Amino acid sequence: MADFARKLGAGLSRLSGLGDLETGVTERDAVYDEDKLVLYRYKAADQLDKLPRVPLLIVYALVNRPYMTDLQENRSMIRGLLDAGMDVYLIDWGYPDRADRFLTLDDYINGYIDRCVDAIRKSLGREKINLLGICQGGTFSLCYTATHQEKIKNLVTMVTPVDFRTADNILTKSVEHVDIDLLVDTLGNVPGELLNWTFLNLKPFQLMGQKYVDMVDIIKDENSARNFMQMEKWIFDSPDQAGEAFRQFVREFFHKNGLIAGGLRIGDRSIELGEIDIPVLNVYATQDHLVPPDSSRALKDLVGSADYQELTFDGGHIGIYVSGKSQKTIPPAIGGWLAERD
Amino acid sequence: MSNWSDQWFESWRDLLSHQPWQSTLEDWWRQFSRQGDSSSLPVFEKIAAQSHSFFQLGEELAKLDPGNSTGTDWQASLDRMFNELNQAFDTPSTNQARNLFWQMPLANWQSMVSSMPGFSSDQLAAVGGQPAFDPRAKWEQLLSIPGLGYTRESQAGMQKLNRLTLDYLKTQQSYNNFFVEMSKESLDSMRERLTARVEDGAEPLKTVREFYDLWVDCSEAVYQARTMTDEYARLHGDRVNALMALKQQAAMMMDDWVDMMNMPTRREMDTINLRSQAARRTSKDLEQRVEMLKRREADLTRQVTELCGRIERLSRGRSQTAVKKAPGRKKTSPKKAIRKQGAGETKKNR
Repeated sequence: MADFARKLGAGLSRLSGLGDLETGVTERDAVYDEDKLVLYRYKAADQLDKLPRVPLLIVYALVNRPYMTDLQENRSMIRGLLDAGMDVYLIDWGYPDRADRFLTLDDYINGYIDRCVDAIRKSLGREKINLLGICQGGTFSLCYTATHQEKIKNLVTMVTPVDFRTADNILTKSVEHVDIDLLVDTLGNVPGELLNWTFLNLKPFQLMGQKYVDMVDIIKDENSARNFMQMEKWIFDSPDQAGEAFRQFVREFFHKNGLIAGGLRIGDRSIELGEIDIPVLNVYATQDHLVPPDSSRALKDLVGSADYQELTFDGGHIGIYVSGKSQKTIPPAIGGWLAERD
Repeated sequence: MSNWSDQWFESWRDLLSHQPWQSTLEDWWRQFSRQGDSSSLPVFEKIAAQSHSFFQLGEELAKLDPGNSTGTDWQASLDRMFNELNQAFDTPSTNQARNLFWQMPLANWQSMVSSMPGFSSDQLAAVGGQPAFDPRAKWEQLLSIPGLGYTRESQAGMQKLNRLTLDYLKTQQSYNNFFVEMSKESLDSMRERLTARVEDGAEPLKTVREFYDLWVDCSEAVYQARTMTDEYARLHGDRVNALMALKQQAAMMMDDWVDMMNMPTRREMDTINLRSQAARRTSKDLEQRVEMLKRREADLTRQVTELCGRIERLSRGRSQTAVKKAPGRKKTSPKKAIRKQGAGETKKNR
């Protein structure tokens, strides 16, 4: 106990001297924007214009901020993809406010994503690009690819929920009896704070308690303290969710399990994953408590592609972006898989 | 087994002899928060709050120090400690055990609820545990009296708000009870694991931290199992739905008051935003159509230019041929030339 108190004192003093926390470390240019969305192109060490590769567009989730993919110099999936020779673009959705309340999934998928894809195709004079969807962004990417396949060459999904009704899906369980219409009609946009609470409540004793007690042991040096604080910043940097899109997502995916049960429509387009016949790489984490592996693996039996592969990561939902192990394995593997199909 | 249990018991006694730490932490925290950078305080507060729980666990263990027991009746002491904690959950006036074990999830819910728009729910936390709400039937009877006269609508609105408040507090109480049951289950699990460790001859737990980690493991395991049940899903859904119904009623009443002050209401803003989004959708659709038409126009312009060039070349060529072969022969007009050539190409295509 005395040792703990001493470390706590030293650690908190160190934290107070950390200063500003930088997020998103790789140099990039804004190449397209619309409303609160910004499309970034990341700069590789050499000139991008010389890259022969098909460009890769990353579609991140609406929940949390996409700088998780580029958190620090030594913890950056984007840096890894650039090093693997990719020409990388990323959609930053921004922070929706009340004026965005009536954005629908159709607006996000057939609107924003489609216009970003077109912007890249037009600027590079390419007919097709590669798409990498992460988590909820992966679900969006599946819906997009199923209906705009003529613009996509290869699809990579990462920790992507497909079957929302697996037995171990605690998120589905937690919204099973929630009246989503009442919730959205009442709140308008869904506060990021509510999502934070939901995610933390998946493991409340670890994530709201033990983590901070553990922290006392690791903040004795500045780097560890900075790593911890950057992750902490990301966890609680939760944008509000546009109300209508959130309503549709919960209803169509969590309640109706639309990708499995069928009958899913986004706007005036019917979504059939069997229509996807381009190469698909499905990356998932074996210890993912947010998106259970079985939820992602369900994709295998749904897509129509003859070229379907899976890549597993022995870790969790967050570790797949930021752990040292993932930095060494995941981006190079994705780069290699795409290069073979360039 | 007695050697092992003696060792366990002595380790525990030694561990608990270094108290109190919690008050020391609080003194230290008071000093620190005066000096600290104010922007970092939320993080420090989180860390301090969890450290507080951690130290509190140590002090709870110290209070239950089986001082007069001998090493051989450790099992009885262990049972007594857990029984006392278990009983604390059943005593409404004793919040100590509840604060120690379940403060985090419940306090975080309250904090999240307060941050939501529409209606501040801080006061609900204050009234939630009051026995004044126990005679629910009386309250419901009172609230069911219909409003009368000129203010009938506002009376009815206020009565509905109060009814929804009671509904929410009821769901909150059910949720709390569920958590109390989980707490007891966690304690049972912890007792079983401690007993099993001794029986298996494992190393004694030597620090409060090891006890804390064991408590977290047990609590998480029980929590994971219980939250996957239909009972929990229903309780959670009912609580969220009751809160939303309450907030919605409060927001509607707030809108009426705002309207009376001739200020824009939430309903009006929603209408504007809905129309604005529909207009943006139409605008984007039209932009895309214009872009498509522009591309088609450019394509057609290119085709016309090509055709004109070909016509020009054809007419020039025919003129020269005509001059050479038959100076008196009638010239073919460019239009006819195109028709003839077009017909030829169509035949070829067939």
